[in-house]
Amino acid sequence: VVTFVVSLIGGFSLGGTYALIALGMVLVFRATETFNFAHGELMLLPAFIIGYFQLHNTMPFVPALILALAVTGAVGALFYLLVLRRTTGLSPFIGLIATLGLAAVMDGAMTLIFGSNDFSLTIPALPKGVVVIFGARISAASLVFTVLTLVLGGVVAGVLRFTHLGTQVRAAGQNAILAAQGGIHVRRLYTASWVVAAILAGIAGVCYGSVNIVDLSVTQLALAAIPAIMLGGLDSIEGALVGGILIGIMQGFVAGYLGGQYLDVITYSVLLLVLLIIPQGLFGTKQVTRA
Amino acid sequence: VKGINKVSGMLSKLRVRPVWFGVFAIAVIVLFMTGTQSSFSVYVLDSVLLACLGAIALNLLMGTAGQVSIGTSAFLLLGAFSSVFFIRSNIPLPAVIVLSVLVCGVGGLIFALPALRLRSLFFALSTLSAYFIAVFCGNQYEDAVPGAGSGGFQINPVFPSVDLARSQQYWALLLAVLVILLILVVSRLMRERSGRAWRIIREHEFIAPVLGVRVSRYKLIVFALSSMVMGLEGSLMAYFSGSVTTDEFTLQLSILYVAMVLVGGLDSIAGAVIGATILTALPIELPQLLGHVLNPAQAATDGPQYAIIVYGLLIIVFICSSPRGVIGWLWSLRRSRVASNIENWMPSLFSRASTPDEAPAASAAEPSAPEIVP
Repeated sequence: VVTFVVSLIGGFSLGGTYALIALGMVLVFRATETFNFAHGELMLLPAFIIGYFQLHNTMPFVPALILALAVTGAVGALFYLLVLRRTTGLSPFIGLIATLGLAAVMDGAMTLIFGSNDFSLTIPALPKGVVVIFGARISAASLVFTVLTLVLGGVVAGVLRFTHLGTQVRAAGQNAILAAQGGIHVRRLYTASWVVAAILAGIAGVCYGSVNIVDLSVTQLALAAIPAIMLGGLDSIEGALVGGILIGIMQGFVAGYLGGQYLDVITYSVLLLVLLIIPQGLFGTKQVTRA
Repeated sequence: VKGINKVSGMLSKLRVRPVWFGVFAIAVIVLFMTGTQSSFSVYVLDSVLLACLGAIALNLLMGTAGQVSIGTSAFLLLGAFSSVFFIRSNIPLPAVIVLSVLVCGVGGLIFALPALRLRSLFFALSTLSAYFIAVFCGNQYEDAVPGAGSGGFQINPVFPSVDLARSQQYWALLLAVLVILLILVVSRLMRERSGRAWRIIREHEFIAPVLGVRVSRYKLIVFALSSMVMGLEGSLMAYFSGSVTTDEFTLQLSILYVAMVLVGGLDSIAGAVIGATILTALPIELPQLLGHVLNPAQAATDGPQYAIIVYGLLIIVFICSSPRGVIGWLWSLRRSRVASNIENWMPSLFSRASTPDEAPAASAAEPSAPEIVP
């Protein structure tokens, strides 16, 4: 029972992180048809910034968090404005490869600036200690973050689904020309999508980093969110949440019952199976598989 | 530009295929460098020649046949580890390489049979899972077989009786012969029926069967071929570096090969060679160049990071300004009939072939250069 509960709750907390990552990636895919391989770097950047300030005791947490998320959002916006705007109308692959370039630049720059250190983040006003559920000891902080990431993901998905702004974003993603004719500032929305996606990635990174250690391996997390995205459907916001949680729980059980060395191979085998059997995902449209 | 036109006009009157000039240039450069340069430069040359093998293979797969793959590392790993397996079974050297290449060909076929049903982005993502599965298998093998220390499996040198500098030179000659053979074979494949089939699959996969092209057969062939060449490179890498671990075969390495093909120029062997040269020499040479600006110790530690930044920037710059890479950029200097043909079909590579109504938008976004016939 203990292993089961640990697996389930560990899976949920991973799943919340995956859901946030997947949400950001789906958001930019729907807006600019770009599959973002630099998402992991966008997660790592704010975690590194906060970790750096905390290590040198130069800035308290809240301003550091705001600064870090602002920088991350700015990187997302700049990347869209400087690079992706020029590749509009070309194949999605062009954008994908450009994000590989961004990932390389950010990797190199972050290692130069922050060194290849590990940072550990401490967030004030966070419950310390452990909670015992059915005999399983679970850290209170990770429970808080699980709830936080899931609620945040739900809120963003809800905004995109039900508000006027969300409708505009989805319209701009589906047909930029018609949306522009309808009076929507397409470019502004695309930029905003990148900013929001980058900030979501940043929050996911900070949440993950405050429970675990922050180093370059955090970027692997964004790659592991790819199966979650494909499972939910590449163009589905709700799918990103559901897929993220499902993959997180699956990883929790694999780590709990089989062992950590099987994590990657099983996660990516699931990706392969999803691609082969239901390429449109659980909630996605068939259309996207032709892209 | 006029001078270039004149020279190219003279060359085309000689009625020799351009590939022979490239082969000749490689032979001259390799002979010159092995004869005169320091052993470090020859080491760089060896690394470049090794990378050329994989880059040419990926160019065939990604540039000519249009199947973007980020699974290059998977097949390098498969090649290296099957070499380790065959060496441990006491099989002599040439047979080890041949068998490893065959293993990679079979591995490529097994993976491609289901994966080639997928298209574009979905295929690329499936190669990502191939990469992780290959790494898992490599790790399991390392755990299961005794003899892999912290440095991985050790492999005896190929040229045991000579010193290091001399063996680097032998390697350069051996690799040059292999690269030249590969270039001749691939240029022939790209020129003939198979090349036309791959290009029509790349441009219009749904039209290809109407024209009598067996799509799945040609896709399988190109995937198996490129896997075999990548396996060859992996096997040679194992012998060249003398040790094999799964840690060498990162996802970054796969992406580096994509960058090589892209920076050099898609669907062009010369482009693959140029891209492999730039992106392999860059991380080795950049720390040395930086040593003149920064202090040497700092340059040595930070150099690789600067190299990563430069290569990321190169990708972004080429994607934005010249999606046809260095070769496309050179062609636009040499405005001949051939160039205009290339300019006409290269843009369509990145337009969305599956949605014909959007094709005009793509070609408008990237206008082909005006055809100027002198």
